[in-house]
Amino acid sequence: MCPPSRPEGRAPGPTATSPEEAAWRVALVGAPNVGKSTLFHRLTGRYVTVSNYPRTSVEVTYGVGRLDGHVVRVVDTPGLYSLSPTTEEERVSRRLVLEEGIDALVHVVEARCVARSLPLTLELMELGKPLVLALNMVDELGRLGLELRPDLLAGRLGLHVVPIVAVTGQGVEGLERAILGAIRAGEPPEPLGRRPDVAAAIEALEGALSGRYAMPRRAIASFLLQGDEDTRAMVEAAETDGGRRALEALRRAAAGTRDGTAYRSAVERHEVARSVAGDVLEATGERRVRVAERLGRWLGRPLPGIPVLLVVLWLGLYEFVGHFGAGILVDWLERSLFLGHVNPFLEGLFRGIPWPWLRGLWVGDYGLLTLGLRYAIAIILPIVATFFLFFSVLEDSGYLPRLALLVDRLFKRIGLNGQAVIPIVLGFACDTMATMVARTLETRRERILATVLLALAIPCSAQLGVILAILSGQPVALGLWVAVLAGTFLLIGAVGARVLPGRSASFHMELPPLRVPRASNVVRKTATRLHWYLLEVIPLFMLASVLLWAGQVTGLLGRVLDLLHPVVGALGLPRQTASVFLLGFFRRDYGAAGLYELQRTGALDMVGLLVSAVTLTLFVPCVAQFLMMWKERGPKIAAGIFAFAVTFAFGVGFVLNLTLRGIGL
Amino acid sequence: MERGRVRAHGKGGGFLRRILNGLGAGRRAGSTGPASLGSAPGTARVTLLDLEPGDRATVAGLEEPRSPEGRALASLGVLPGVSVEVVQRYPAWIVRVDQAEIAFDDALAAGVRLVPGATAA
Repeated sequence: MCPPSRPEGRAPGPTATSPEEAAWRVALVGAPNVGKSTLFHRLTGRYVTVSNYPRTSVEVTYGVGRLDGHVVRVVDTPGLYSLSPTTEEERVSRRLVLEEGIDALVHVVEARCVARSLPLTLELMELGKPLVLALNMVDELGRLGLELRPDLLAGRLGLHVVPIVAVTGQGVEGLERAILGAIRAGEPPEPLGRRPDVAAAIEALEGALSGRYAMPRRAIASFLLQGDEDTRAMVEAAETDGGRRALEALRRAAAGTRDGTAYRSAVERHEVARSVAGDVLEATGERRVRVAERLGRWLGRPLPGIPVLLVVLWLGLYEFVGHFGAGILVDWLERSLFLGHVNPFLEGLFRGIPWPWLRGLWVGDYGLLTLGLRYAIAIILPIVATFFLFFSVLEDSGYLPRLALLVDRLFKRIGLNGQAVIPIVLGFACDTMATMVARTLETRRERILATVLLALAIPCSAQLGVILAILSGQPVALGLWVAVLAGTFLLIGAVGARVLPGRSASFHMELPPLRVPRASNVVRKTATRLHWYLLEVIPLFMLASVLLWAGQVTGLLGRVLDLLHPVVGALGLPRQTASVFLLGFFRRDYGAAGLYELQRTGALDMVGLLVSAVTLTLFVPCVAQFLMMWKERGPKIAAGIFAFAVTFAFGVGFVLNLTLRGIGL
Repeated sequence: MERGRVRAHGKGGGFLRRILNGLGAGRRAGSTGPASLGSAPGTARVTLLDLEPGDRATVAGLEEPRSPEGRALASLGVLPGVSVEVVQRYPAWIVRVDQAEIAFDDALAAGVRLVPGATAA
């Protein structure tokens, strides 16, 4: 949920009456992995909300803090390299910086990378808003043999420049004073390094804009001159004449400049930045390479990178999520707590209801409490929680970008690139969430391919945990299950890459330093994801329970199951597995949990277990994922994937059953 | 952009590289020297593909600054005048730019023109 923008024309803070109204707004801006989030938590304390920016999958964090007794709303913007966005995150950051009624910007940079960070500072200086430059991680400079002179930098830029170490809190008080000073003074910095012909063109263009805009006209003029398509569309929508006058002015302005394109402007900003950085940053000693740096490089090479990856996956997925989450935790919660205590207590509680059909809604085979709540809390929650914890550790350690570069070449064979590793790995947690995150992939073709692969070959953590627990005693079955899924992933990806039109994007990313994850960050990220997951999953579990109960009461369930019986029969499976597949449509993990019960009662032999595990994994995505596919990729693609997944899953199950029984396994 | 097979170089990973190349993944940009890059006689054009791990050079320009690849490089700070040092070429490029390390694929590496005269570390 986004905090509402301040109404236009109202003065900031000091003139307002209530604390809510009086809140100043500060945006933390900067490249990814420069310590914005750590600084954000230093500035805001406990009152933090995380939400997706409207109509995007990009997470934005808002918080409230106090500066000199004054309420300040702080927004932690997604990573941004420049104001000419190339990714969805950068687009959201730019919108936040420009449109959210921000009273001051804080550009957070890594002190060691000041030369490559200053071009964005120069862009931010053009926006006409008070700006403070926070030089983070100044404690690292000594190790790198560098000396930085913040006072000289402040003088060159005409800005407040504050050296800080966000992790320890060093210098943060000084930064708060600087932010306060910048807001109270209300003076935007003077743009630096702009060519006179470009400055004149921007001024002329600014005068030609008469529509209502939520961002400064100077910034709009600058973006227009740089050929920014989003801004052009915005101007055409905002101007009463459809933007004709403004675009004519743009043509004249562009003709009057040597070259005002985004590229030329970026080159010029980098030249200014290098000149400034050359004056304020000096190499005074030898650069010492840290162990983490060496380790980071090793992990990005096939050897030892790939063996380490396999060990990480084995430890993380098999041991931690599979054995610990789906084994030990589920056993305790389900058998000891729910089946031993909670369910008998609930059944006793509802015994007083004289009508069995109504009692069955709450307690019984498909009861809201005895089935829905038990599956959600006792089976799914511990598995998803352990996966999110594992994923947050990977994310916070800086390992994921190394993983991305390791798999880039392989992923290109299936029409994706290394950047797709993030939605694909996240799919092992929750395919619904991953389908949404696939939106961050650059081209439509990649988004469709990733959606197909997520729907078909990537089991979600709950399903994965339950299936790993079921098959863990059967190494051959487990090996075959992994082989079928990996084969499907590569085969469908390779075929899809040849069939789908369009191009795939190139691979590029900055590698953050490898570091020991901070427990507080890991817990916070896990809790945020778990919160999202529970809000999404609990209502669906309850809905599925109610629908199954209604089906049972009306007899409809029996008829649907009758229709499924010949299908499961063709796969060589007992009749009870029909209900597992039906449950699987409501949630993948719901179906897997049903399979877990069948295995416990000994209704399936090894081949039956493997065939049903493979079919259920490949089988249609759950309701939530299907709705997300519909929303993100459109009804045609969602329906196409659905039909393909059902046919493919039962086809593979049928062939697998015939083959395994044929060879007498 | 020039495409070829990744040549043997660097430390370790040779066996895995051969497997990945065998899968076809390695059939991307590679270099057979400046003369093969399609430049006019006497004006040998050097791109990042001509550097080995440890080599340093200065960026002269981007082949296609308006393309998605060019915009990606520009956003990562790979622009004329910037010094780069190659850390790794395979399985993806890792290049050190002003104390930061950035990774990208062969297609992007082929788009970075360099000032001739790279120095080995």
